[in-house]
Amino acid sequence: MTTLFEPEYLEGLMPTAVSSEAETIRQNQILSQVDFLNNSVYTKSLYLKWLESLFDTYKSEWLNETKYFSDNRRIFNNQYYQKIISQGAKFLPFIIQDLRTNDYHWFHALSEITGVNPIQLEHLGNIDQMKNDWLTWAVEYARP
Amino acid sequence: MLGRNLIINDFPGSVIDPFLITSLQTGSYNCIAWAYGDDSKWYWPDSFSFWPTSIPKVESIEAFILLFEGIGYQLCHDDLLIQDVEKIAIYADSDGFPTHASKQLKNGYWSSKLGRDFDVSHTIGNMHDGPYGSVRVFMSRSFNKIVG
Repeated sequence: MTTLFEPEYLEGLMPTAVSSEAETIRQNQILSQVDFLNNSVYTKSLYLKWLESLFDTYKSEWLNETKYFSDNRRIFNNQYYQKIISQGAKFLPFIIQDLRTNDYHWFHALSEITGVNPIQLEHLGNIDQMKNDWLTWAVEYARP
Repeated sequence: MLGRNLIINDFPGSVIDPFLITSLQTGSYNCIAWAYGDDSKWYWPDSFSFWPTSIPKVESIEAFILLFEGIGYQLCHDDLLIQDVEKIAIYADSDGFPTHASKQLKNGYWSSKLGRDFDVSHTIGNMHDGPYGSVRVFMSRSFNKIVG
């Protein structure tokens, strides 16, 4: 199962331990909670829904703020587009899914997140062909 | 009604002169491609768009002028309608970066593709105070000089 939560997520939420015994209890509690969160189907489902909702919010704001722009400098430097990039691989499934149905310019974000750029030079500017290059890459990437 | 209000909000000049939506929304091409005469690609001098290899891949008015010179346009002074001449306008923001291009129609109105949104028919005045800054240069070519 994908690891959703690292112990660091809970570090700041737990009371500070002073004695070594208290620290042992504290660490065990953190590990137990992390173990539960990472293995609970319900928690994972909630987390993925929350993540998708976050992606939808960022996407919606990005589209709204850049809808009239032709220049990718402003489209890609938009604060919400940058927030999507900063989420890294967690957002990759949502971006790929969106790419299948829309013609939004995810190419820079995909390249930043994955570190690759499968777009063929002769396809530059042709949105459908660029999308196909990335969707082909996604099929290969998802193959075990 | 909601869409109309959004347009008025984004383009305050759209209430002054005729401002008509003339296409469906599509992100397949942008304003530069539309002014260039190609509705199959997204044109911009960057790593994720089409840009002729013979033109410097630089976001400058000069590079955009070179782009349109490549299909027969030359700098001109104004937006006046002249028979058998077609014109384009290149817009830039306050920092001098190109933002937009529109082309003149035979009836004197102008046609623009608004980002990944729709095409509109408008006057030069419609675009004032909008998201594109102002017209930086006009270019023109005779219909008989159209380069394929």
